[in-house]
Amino acid sequence: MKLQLAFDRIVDDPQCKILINQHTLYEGVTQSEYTFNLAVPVGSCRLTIVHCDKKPEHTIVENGIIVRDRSFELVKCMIDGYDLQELIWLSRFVADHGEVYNSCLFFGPNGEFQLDFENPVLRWILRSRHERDNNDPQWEQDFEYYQQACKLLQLTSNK
Amino acid sequence: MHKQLAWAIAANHSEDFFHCRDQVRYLYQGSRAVQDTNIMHNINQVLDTKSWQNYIHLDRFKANFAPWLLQHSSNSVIGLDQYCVNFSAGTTQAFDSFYFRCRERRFRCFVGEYFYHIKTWINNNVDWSFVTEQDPLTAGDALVISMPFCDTGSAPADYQAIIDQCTALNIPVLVDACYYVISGGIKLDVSAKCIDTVAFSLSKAFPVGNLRIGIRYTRPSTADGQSLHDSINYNNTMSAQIGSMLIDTYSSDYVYNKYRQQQLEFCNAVNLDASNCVLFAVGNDSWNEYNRRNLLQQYQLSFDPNLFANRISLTHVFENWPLFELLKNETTVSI
Repeated sequence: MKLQLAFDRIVDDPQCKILINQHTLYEGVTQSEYTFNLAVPVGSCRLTIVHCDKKPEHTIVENGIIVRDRSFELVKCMIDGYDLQELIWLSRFVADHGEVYNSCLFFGPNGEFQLDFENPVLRWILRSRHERDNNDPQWEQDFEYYQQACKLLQLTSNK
Repeated sequence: MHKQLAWAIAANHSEDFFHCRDQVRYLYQGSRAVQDTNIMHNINQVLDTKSWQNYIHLDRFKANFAPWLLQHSSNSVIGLDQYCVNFSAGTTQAFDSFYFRCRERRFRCFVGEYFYHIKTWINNNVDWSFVTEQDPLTAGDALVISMPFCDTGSAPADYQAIIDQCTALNIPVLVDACYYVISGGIKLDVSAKCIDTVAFSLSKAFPVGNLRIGIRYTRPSTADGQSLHDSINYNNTMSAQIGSMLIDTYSSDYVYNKYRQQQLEFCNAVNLDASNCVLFAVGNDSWNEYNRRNLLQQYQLSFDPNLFANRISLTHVFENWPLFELLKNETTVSI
């Protein structure tokens, strides 16, 4: 699996940890872009992005207003070349203090962003979109045709 | 198998599923010439000579076109010697000239005719209608008919009866023969007095659609903008040079002979009826997803797609023939 992430509005070197299932891919100061190539078994997967080590002094408040706050924002998630686009909103952010924020791409408090999906991701993308919009009844058939086409092309390249 | 082949062709061009799916939807549609690399190479060699500005290319192309047509091994065209020849920017310039000269008449065509005519007539508030049993040809009409017929790629069975009717009713006829040189078994008789224009093009046979290489035959009495430009050599000499090279190098049945066996083999494999035009076949209801819906949308026309034949374009199949052969031999591709 190829995982590409892009972050924006990175303020004051926030610490993060990126995991697929239980496998840690990165740990350290948040960068604007990441690309990971890793072997992932077929089936259920979870992308976890942990925001950690944020302390009270990383939030500067003046006259009751936050004027600076260590934080960052997830702006793009691509898996195997497919931009998840709107499906990224199927995620949630579980803050360490117990609150759960659905569809939250902003990393303010310490906590973890969780996105559950499936490998291969294309099948999950097609199914998820159809389940939500009910406008792609051929998705499963098309996916099978595509899989077989890739297999056939693999045969030609091996000959 | 045709659907699996479409996906394989698409996936061979792009790994992205969504790009593939878009391409698959249109893969068996259109009427584009096969992108033959040998022909493309020869065209580029002509351009390298840097001699395209010579007017002689126009004269050569016009003079050699009819003899070239007549050498076709399984088609025949009768009566062209009654006509004057003009260079034409594809068949389209001949259409536009015909529309203008017949502007006082009601334009007619059969259901399934090239959408360009219909779109032009509608957009310009021209009086027109399809020829039907309820609305037959009448005096005062002007008819456009493609031979082979655009909808099926084959000769209409009643072509001669239609022409006879037009002669009787004094209806000027434009014969769009753009598919003639990609066809076999076509007997095209243009000797009837009613036939005003016969138009040919190289765009369907060779990958030169954007060069607009065509020929128009009209009666000697015709005097319009197109004949005026032709008389003063105010036409595209580069296209004429490339057109001349193509007809000098490739016979008029080259494309038909090159792909006919492949057309028959593919049609047999996927249950299609092969057309006289080697680039086309006609599918039954199981091919409805490749009907004219997309093209009608593109032309912004609101006709029922079921009015038209499921004309299947084989261009991509020919361009990806090794994939078809592989698929044919791989009866099951395990995932």
